[in-house]
Amino acid sequence: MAVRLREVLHGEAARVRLEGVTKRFGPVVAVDDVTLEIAPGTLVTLLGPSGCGKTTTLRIIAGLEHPSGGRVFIGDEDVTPLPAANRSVTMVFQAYALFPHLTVFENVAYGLRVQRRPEEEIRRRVGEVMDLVGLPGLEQRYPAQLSGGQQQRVALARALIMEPRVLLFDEPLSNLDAKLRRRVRADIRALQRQLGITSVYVTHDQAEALAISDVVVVMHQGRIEQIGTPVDLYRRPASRFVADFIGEANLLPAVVEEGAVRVGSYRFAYRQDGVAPGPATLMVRPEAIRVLRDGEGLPGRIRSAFFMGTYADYIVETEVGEVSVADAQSVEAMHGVGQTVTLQFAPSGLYLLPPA
Amino acid sequence: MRYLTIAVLIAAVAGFAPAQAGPAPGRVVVLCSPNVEWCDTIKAAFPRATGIALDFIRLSSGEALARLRAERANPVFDVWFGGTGDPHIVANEEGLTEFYRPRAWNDIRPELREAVAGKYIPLYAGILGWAVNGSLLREKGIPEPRRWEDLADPRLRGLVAYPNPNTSGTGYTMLATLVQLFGEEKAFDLLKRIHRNVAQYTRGGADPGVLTGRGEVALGVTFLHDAVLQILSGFPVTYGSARDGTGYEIGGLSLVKGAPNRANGIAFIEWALTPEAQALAASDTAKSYQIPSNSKTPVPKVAPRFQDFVVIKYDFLKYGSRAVRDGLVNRWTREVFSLPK
Amino acid sequence: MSGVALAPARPAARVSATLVAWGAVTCLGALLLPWARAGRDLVAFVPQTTGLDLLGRDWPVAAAVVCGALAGMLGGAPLPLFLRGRLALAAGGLGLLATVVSVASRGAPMGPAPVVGVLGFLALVGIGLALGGYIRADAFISVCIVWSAAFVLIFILYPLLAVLQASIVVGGRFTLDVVRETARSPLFLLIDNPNTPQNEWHQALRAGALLTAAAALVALALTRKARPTLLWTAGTAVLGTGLIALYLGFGAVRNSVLLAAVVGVISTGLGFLFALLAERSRLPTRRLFGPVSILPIITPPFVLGLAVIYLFGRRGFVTHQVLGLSTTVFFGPLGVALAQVLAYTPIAFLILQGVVRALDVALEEAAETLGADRWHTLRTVIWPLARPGLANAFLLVAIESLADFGNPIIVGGGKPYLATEVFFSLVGRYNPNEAAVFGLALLAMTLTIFLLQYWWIGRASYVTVTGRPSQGVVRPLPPALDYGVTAIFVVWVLVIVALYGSVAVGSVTKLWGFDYTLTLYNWEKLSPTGWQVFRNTLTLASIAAIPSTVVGFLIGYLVTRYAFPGRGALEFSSMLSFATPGTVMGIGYILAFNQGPLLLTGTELIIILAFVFRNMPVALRAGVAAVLQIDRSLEEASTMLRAGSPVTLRRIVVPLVRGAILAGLVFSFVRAMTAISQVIFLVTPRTSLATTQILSYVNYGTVGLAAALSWVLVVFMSLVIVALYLVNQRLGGRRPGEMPTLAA
Repeated sequence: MAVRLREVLHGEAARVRLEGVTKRFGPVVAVDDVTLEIAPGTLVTLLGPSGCGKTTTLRIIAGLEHPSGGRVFIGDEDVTPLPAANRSVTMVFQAYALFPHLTVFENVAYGLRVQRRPEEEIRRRVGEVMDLVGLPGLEQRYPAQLSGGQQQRVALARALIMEPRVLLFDEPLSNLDAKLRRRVRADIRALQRQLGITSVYVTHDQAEALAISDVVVVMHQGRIEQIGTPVDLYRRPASRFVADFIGEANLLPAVVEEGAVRVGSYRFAYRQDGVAPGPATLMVRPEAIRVLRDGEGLPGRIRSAFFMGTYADYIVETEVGEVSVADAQSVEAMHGVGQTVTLQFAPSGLYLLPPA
Repeated sequence: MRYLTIAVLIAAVAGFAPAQAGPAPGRVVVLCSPNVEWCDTIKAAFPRATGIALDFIRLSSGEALARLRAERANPVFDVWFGGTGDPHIVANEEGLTEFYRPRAWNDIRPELREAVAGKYIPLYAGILGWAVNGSLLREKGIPEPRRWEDLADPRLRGLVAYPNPNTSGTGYTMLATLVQLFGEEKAFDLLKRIHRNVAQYTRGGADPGVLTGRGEVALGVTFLHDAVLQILSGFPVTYGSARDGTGYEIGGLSLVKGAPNRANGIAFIEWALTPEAQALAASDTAKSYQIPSNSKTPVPKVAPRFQDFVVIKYDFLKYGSRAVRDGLVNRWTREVFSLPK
Repeated sequence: MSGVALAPARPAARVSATLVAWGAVTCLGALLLPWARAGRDLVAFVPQTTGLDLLGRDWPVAAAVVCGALAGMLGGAPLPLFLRGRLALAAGGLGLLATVVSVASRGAPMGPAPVVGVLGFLALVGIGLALGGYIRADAFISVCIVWSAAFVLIFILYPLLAVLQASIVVGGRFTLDVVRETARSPLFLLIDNPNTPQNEWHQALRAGALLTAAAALVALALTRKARPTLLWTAGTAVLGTGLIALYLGFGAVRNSVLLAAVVGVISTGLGFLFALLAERSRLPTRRLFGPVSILPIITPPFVLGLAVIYLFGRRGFVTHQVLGLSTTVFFGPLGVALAQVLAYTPIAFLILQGVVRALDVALEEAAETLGADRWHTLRTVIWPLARPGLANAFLLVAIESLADFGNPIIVGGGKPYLATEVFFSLVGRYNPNEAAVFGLALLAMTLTIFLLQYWWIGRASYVTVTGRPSQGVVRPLPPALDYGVTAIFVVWVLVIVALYGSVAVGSVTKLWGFDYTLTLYNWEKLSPTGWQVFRNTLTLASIAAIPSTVVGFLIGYLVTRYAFPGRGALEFSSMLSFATPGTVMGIGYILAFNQGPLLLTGTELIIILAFVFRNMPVALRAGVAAVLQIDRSLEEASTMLRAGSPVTLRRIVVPLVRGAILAGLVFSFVRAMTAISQVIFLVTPRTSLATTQILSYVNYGTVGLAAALSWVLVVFMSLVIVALYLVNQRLGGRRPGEMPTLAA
C-alpha cells in the first residue's frame, strides 16, 4: 500500500526550520523569537492555549503572514520573502475552507487547474486522491451536501493533490464532534505516516496533540515552552506551564534533600539528576497518587469524592494545599468525604520542576 | 498580470475610442440661445443648404457667455446664435467673440445695426412686455395692467413672475428699461413694491410666459415673442406692454474668436442672415416670432411690431457694459431680491 | 504575474515576466505614441510628437523611455528579488516624474503616450513595492492599489482641490475677496436685512430666549435632574435660536439648511413608522414596501418636481381642480420639501428596518423581564438602541437634501439654494470663483455631516438591508397603531401613485390645467431629439457602469482584505465622492479638466469619468458588504493551492459575490441614467443627456415633453430593476432590496 501511495504523491518530504521568527501586530508580540527545526517526514504539533502564537507561527510557515523578524527555511531554501503560493506548502483549514460554489471534484482539482494541467491528468489524480482519503464517488456533490467528516477529507484531498513538501493543519478537527474527532485524527496520522509528508499541526487540545504527534511544541505567550515527544512532555515537563497544560498536575511545594524529597511532613526517596538540594516544586500526576486510610504519606482530609467508572476522583485537603487524585485502586471501596487519609506518591508520576 | 496587461491595452483603446470625430471639414458647432425648436430647425436646414453638418447646444445667453469664458483657451463653439444682446456685447469686449461683417450687412435694419455699433450682428429684435392670463385676472377681478406701476397693484400679490436679472437677459432688460425710464432710485423703489407681488423670479426669460400659460401666475414679464409662443400653443394667454414705455432686445449673432471651424462658422453666419434662413424662425417647427433683422425677410404675421408699442430709445452700449450691468444686478440682488414678501 | 514568474522556487535569477512586460509596454508606448493632442479632440494629435520625434529635443521624454527600458531589463537581471523590487520602484518613480515633467512643461493636452506612460510607470511602482516587500501582497494587488490611489487622487481629490483653489486664488493671486464678497451676498446668507425696519437678529434672540425658557421648564419637570436639564436648555438655546434666525433670514444657506432639517426630521419619522409597519404589521399592505422603497432610486431627478407642479401648482389637479384653491405655496421650499420627503423617506426606511428588527428582541426582553413602566423602557432600552439608526437616517437624508439639485431647480420658486447657486453663479453670473465658494460652503456642510456619520456610526452603515422579515416570531404591532400607521402608508402610496400617474397622464394631455384632451403629440415630438438623447444617455451610462463597478468593487476588496499604508485614506477618499454634492463635483471637474494636460471637457470621456467616480462608491459598498461575508480562509486556501490573487479573485471571490457585483453594476447604471447635478456642467452638443434634456424641456415650457421623456426613463429603469430581481433570484442570490444603503 505504502509503495502505491508514494507513486501517487511525488512530493519530497522537506525539513522545516524557523530561525528567530518574531511577529508583532502593533504593540502585541504574537510570536517571540521562535527557533524550531522540524525533521523531514515527521508530524510536529504546535500546542498551546488560544493566543499563544501557534496559529500565527503556522501561518508564517505557510506564507500567509510575514514575520516581523527572523527567517523561514523549507528544505535548504530561505522562503521568507516568497509568497504563499510559491512555497510548495499546503494547508488544511480549521473550517476546511471548501469553495462552496464548486463541486467536490472541482475543489480537489482546483490547484491543478490553476497550474493548467491537462484534463486527463487532473481526472486521474483527483480519482487517486479521492481513493486515498476514502471518498470515491462523491465528486459531483457540493460541499454543503457532505457531512463534517467528509468535508474534512475533501479538504485533506485538496491539500494532498498538490504534492506539498510540507502539509499544514490548522486545528482541522475542531469542528467535529468528539467521537468523530478521534477516528479522523487516527486516519490523518495513518495517512501522514504512510505518505511520510512533513506535517505541522496546530491544536489547543493536548489529548489530540499527544495522540497524533511525533514531536510536540508547547507554546505560551508567543514563546516555545518546550519541545519534545509526547512522553517527554508528560513525564518531564520543563515548566509549571507545561506540567499544568499537558494532562493534569498537582504542583506542590517541596524541599529536595540528599536522595529524598520532602513535601510537608511527607518524606520519601526520590532521585532526579541535575536537581540541587533546596526548595523546589514537585509535579505529581493525579494518577500517581494512592489514597490510604493510614500509614506513611501526606496526611489530609477528603473534600470531595466522585465515582468516575475506572477510577475515583478525589480532592484532598492537605497541609500543602488541595491535591487532586485519580485513584484506580479505591474504586471498589471509595473513601467518604471528610475522612482523614494519607497520600502516597508513585515515583513514575513525579517530576521536580526547575525553579521558575 | 497577463490580465492586467490586456486590461490596460483595452483601456487605452477604449479610452480613445469615443472620439472618432476629429475636426471634420464639414461641421460647425453652434452655441444656440433661442428656443430649442429654432435650434432644431437650423440643425436640420443648414446642412440641406450647405452640406455642412451642424451640432448645437442650447444655453440661455447668460449661460452661453459663461461657457465661452470657461472655454476661452480652447473654444468648442464656432458661432453664437441668438440670445439677448448684452452678453454678446460683453463677449465682444472681453475678446471672446469677434465682429464679422457679413455680406448682408447693408440689408440689416439700420436702426438695429446702429444700436449695437458693430459689437455683434443683429439677428432679430423683440419687444419687452408681459404675458397675461386673462382668466386668472378675471377670477380676481383685476383689470389688465397698462403701465409698469400697475404691476405693484396690491391685488396682484403672488400673481406676478419676472426673470431674475442674475441669470436672464430678459430680466436685465426689464431692470435696465425701468432705470432708463424712471432713473435708478425711482426704478428700485418700484421694483421693491412689485417684489411683494412676485410669486417667483424665474431663471430663464421665457419662463414667466410659461408660468402664465400654465396659470401659476397671472402676469409674467417676458419678451412678447415668447408670449406669442404660449398663445399659439393654446394657453389662455394674451400679451401687452407698458404704455409708459418699454425696452427691447436685439438678438445677436457672433463669431467665436479662435473658432475651431472658422470657415464653416462664417458660412453659417452668412446663411443665417439670408431671408430664407431667417424666415424659418416663424415656421411651425421653430416657433420663434421675433422681428427678423434682415429687412428683406418678411415679418411674421403674428410677430409683435414696434409701431404698435411705446418703445424707449434703449442705450445698448451703456447698459450692455459689464460695469453698469454688474452694478445694477448686484443692487437688485441686495435690495430687492432679498426682501421678505 | 510575479507568482507565475517565480513559480518553482529560487528567488533570484528567474525572469520576472511582469517587469519585462510592463517595462516594454511603457517604453514602447512612450516611444511610439504621440505625446500631445492638438486640442479637445481625443484622437487629433500634434504631429511630430511621438517619442521617436521628441527623443533628441525633450530630455524628460528620453528619460521616460530609458526608465521604461531599464525596468524591462531589470525583469531579466540576475538580482535578488528585493533588489529587483527596489530598482523597479526607482525606475517607475523616476519615469513617472519624467513623464509628469514633460507633460507639465509642454502644457498641451496629453496624448496617449503619457497616459500609457503614467499607467505603466505606476504599474512598475506597484510591482516594485510588492517585490521590494513594501506592500505585503503580490504584484497584481500592489498594482491595483497604486492605480486605485492614482485614480482617486486625480478624479476625486484633485477636482475638490481645484474648487478650493478657485475660491481663494483669483488671477493667480491668493485673495479672500471672493470668499468675503460671497459670504456677504444676500444670495448666500442674510440674517439682518438692512432694508427691513426690524432687526432680525433681535427678533431671533427674543424668540430663542422664550423657547429656551420653555425648554428648561419642560426638561426640569420631566427629568428633575440638573445635568440633563442644563444640556437640553443649552441645546435648545443654540439650535433653536439658530434655526429661528435662519428662518427669519434669507439666502441659500437659510433655505438649504432649513430644508435639510425639516426633510431630515420628517423623512426619518415616516421612515421609522414605515419600518415598524414593514416588520411588524399584520396587514397585507406590507408587501408594497419593496417596490415603494426602490422607486426613488430609479426616478429621474425632475419627476417628483414635475408631479408636484401637476398636482399642487396654482392650476394643479389637487389644489385647483379638486380643492378649488388658487395658491402657489408649493412653489418654493414647501414644494421642494414635499418632493424631497417623497424621495428620501424610502432611504430612511431602508436604514431603519434594521433598527426595528433589533428593537424587536429588546422589546421582548424588556417586556418579559421587568414589566417596567413604559416610559422607563422607552428611555433605557428603546431609545439607546434606536438612536444611532435614527441619527444615521437623519444625517443621510440631510446630506441628500442639501445636495439635491433637481427639485430646487424645478419647484424651488426661484429662491436660492446652495446646490443650485453653485450652478447659477457659474452659468448664470459667469463667476467660477463665486461658484467655488458656494460649492465649498455646501461641501463643508455635507462633509461635516458625513464625518459625523462616519465616525459616530462608522462601519455600521455598511449594514446590509435584507428586506426580509426577521426569523422567529415577530410581535405584531398593537392593532390601533397598526391601523393608524397603515392608514398613513396607504395615503403615502396613493400620493406616490398620483404623482407618477400625473406625469404619465401629463405626457398624453394637451394642456394640463386647462385642456385635458388626450393627445400623442408629446410622444411624437420625442423624435428625433428626445429618443436620440435617450440612446446617448443609455450608451454612456452602460459604458460607465462597467469600470465604475470594477474599480469600486476592487477598492472595496482591497480595503477589506489587505493592509497597506494609506488604506484608510483610500477608502475615505473613495467614499468622499458620495458625500460630495454633484454640483460641487461638477464645478470641480470643470475647473480641473478644462485646460492644460488634463483637458477633457467637451468630450464624452469626461462624462463617463464623472459617472464612474461618482457611482463607484455604490459598488464599493456592495463589494465591502459582500466580501465581509466571505470567510477569509477561502481566499487563503486558494492562495495555498498556488493561485495568484488575480486567479483567486476570478475563480473564488467574484463567483461568490456575483449577486452583489451585478447589483452594483445595475445601480451604477441606474444612477448614471438619472444623474444631473454633476453632468449638467459637462454636457456638450454631442453628449446631451436625458436629464439635461428634460430640464431644458421644462425651461421651455414644453412640460408635456419633459413628462414623456421622464416617463420613458421611469419605465425603462423599472424594467431594468425587475430584470435584476429576476436574474438574482435565479442566481439564488440577494434581492435588489438588499442593496447596502447609504443614500442609495
